[in-house]
Amino acid sequence: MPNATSGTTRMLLIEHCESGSPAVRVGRALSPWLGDRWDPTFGREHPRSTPKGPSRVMDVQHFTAYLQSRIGDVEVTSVTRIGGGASRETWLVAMGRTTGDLPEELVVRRDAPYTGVVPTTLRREYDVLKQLAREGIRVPEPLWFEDDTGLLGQRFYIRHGYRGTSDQARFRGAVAERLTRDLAQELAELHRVPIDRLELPEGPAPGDVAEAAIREVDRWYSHWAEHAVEPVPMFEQLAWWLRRHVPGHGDAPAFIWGDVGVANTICSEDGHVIALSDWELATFGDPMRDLASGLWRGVGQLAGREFFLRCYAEAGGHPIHEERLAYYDVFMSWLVAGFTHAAIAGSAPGDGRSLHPALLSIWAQRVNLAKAARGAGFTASTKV
Amino acid sequence: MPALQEGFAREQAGLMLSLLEHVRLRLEHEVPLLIEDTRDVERVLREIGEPVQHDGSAAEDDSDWLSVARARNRDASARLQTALRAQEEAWAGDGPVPDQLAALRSVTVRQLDRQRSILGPGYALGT
Repeated sequence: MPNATSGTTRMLLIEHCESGSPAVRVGRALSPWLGDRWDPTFGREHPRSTPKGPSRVMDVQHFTAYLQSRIGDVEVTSVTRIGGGASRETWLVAMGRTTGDLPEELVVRRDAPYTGVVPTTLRREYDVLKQLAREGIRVPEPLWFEDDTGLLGQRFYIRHGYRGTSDQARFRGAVAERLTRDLAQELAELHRVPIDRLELPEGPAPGDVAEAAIREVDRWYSHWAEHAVEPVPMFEQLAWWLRRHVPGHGDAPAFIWGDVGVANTICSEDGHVIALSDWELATFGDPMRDLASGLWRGVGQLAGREFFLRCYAEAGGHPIHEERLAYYDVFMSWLVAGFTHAAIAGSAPGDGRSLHPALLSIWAQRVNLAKAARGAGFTASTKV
Repeated sequence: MPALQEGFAREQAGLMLSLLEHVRLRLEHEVPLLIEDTRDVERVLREIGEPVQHDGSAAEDDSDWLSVARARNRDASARLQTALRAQEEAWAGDGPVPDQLAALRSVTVRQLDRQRSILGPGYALGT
């Protein structure tokens, strides 16, 4: 056996995976120290199994030409890719000279040139933002959508850019408490939006949160089955558990974010929410799923689990149901296991010398399956 | 990404390099683990009366034991998944878990535990 590093560091890395932080962020952060073990293409324009088409270069020249053709005399000073999303590309555009109401910073959300791991369209994401902005929910203000793939290589939309951070590690003490309170407040407000004022392309809202949960399990199971590169009996088994243990029969659904976390929130340095981003998983469902999602992504580590739940309740959120939180904790681990399986599907075999993306995807899938299996009570012995 | 403190980053990098070595060693031991898993799955499938299509003699002369072991394990896993789905569909969910379904569930758990000890890019892709 190789010389093992301390158990503490091993647990830290596992906690990264357990908390839902993409394993790719760990690899990227360590790349300066990994030398030739690091595959520099990992997490960037990595080829996927089903490329949709070429991706036009996003640079100052191209984007300036596009904006000038659409708007007029503007100047772009920089175009920088940001974020580590697996389904879309996010680009920050700094304007040197703007016109009209155009802000000084824009964000371009563009379809990736390959099939993403989340099967929701960019148009759906944009339409959700438009509707939520109309309802006064603090989301990045969407500006316009471009369906013409000839402009920048893929469909894209433009939204308002914001200066802030999404790094939870920056928040401690009173600032972390403020952020927790803000985030809980935003969730409570979101869950109060009357669902008959919102539309999704999938159709009308489900009758209750139990029906919503069944729909989601079936939806993501079908997506996994369509893209699976190997049989995963535990994924199948967990899907059945989720179907059989659906909670909340009779309770009305709300509009939910689906992917709650500081990593998907633009925050000020002093702990205020500027905007809630990444709405690809948004749907009609159980508000408890949003709380469970936040806890799964580590929001409880800001100022404590109970503090987060108390803030949500004090902000007028839905009553807390612990058994439903536990259910959606299993659901989140299962869901992410399905996503990481799709990530495996897009990876090419490596020679074992570099830190291969499939390695981290496989590991993340196994860790999340084990978490879900423990939560479902299949075993207490499926150790990390 | 925020700048990492060098000490922490070096510690994490050391862990990742250890894991790469671990992967290399696991690849050396992957064949017996896959064989063990395949045998476990096929044993339970036989016990519950599911047909076992693989007769255990195909490609025994194939020198690429790793590819053979992976292919057989994928086949066993696929049959396990199919049998599991059929048993779950047949059970209404009331009362005690039928013995056959319980047996399949337990082997799925053992399989997950074994799979988590096998990390390598080629394993999941069956190459």
